[in-house]
Amino acid sequence: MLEGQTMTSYGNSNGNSNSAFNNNNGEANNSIFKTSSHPVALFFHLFFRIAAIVIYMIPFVHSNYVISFVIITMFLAFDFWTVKNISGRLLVGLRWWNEINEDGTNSWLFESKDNRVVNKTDSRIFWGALYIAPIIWILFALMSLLSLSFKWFLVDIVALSFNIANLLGYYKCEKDAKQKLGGFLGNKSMFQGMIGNVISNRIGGLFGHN
Amino acid sequence: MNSTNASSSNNNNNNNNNNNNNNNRKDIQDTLDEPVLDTLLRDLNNVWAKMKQVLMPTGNQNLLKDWDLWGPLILCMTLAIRLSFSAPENQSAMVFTITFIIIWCGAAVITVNSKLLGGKMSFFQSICILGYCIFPLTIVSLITIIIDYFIIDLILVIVAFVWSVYASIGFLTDVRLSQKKTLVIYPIFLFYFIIAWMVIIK
Repeated sequence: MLEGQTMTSYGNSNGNSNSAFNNNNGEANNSIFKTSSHPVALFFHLFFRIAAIVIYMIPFVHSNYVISFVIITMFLAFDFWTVKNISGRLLVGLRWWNEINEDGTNSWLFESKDNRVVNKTDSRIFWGALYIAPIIWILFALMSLLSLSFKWFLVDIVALSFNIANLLGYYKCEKDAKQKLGGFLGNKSMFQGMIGNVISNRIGGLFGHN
Repeated sequence: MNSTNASSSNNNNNNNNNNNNNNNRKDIQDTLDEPVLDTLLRDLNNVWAKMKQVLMPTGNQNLLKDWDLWGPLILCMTLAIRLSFSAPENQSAMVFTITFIIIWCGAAVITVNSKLLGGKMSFFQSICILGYCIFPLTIVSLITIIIDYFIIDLILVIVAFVWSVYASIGFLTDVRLSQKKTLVIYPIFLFYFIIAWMVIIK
């Protein structure tokens, strides 16, 4: 109970993304951490993204470029690593990565659980944060561009690369998982456990070989 | 089984202290269910192993097949911070930005160049290698914080420069490019030269 209440207070002070996901009883911020099956993962999934955005927006921060760049990049890096390795597999059961084959070509691999039982709250917040953060950074990038502030534009580009990389990875992973689902429906009943299936997708054309 | 996993996750109050154990399933190569700490340590060890390999090339090509961009990011940030640290007040932001851009765009340009020349190495892997090979130059730039004699600094930078070029050539020219070797090596040489120059003039 105590843990639940701590989570709630964090949820309340972070306003932005949470308010978009109101439950019908109107007590939005209380519910998402209670209806989620992985509240800790959910918290961290949101925390680093929001921290990076908030720090970028604080005017005080703009007085010292190097320190703020480092701090923002640090949060972005933590966020990238967390979303890629932790919240993806805990919240929606997906994982993506890249492997180099013997002959030097790329392949992007996607992994998803066979029987994915995805919590509604988890899924909504996961995908919501995944889509909204890049949009916010694109807005910031446009603003920096318009004010010809090149150094902050660089920060925006870095932020965008981190966020969009995850977005693309999970988007493709989800598509792949849906495809997989369509193909194996007949044999589904055999696999009741949480054994992941690895299907390799040859998306070599992206940055791969000649 | 799903609920077991969920409830054991709920008992953790800190991401890094996650002792979520699926020990009975560890024998299955299932990265979907491994504990958080495992993932973190695995990645960190990987980065450190690659850095060590740049310093002491063992000829083991397999390590670099498993590319990651964390190492280059850390090295790039370290170098950029160190250089902007000793720059005059009003220029420190500029120095930082320029270092950052030179490293990433330089690596990208070299990669595109070698791919256009027919290289078979993947884009990210090449950037990864170039980034990691900045390690010697970064070390020397940190040393020059303490040692302030120009001649010693110069010697150290030259040593680091040769080391970086040698290491990256060792990894990157593992491709069938014997005739065009010079064309591939020259940009790498230039890239590390520019960085070495930035280090020496501080």
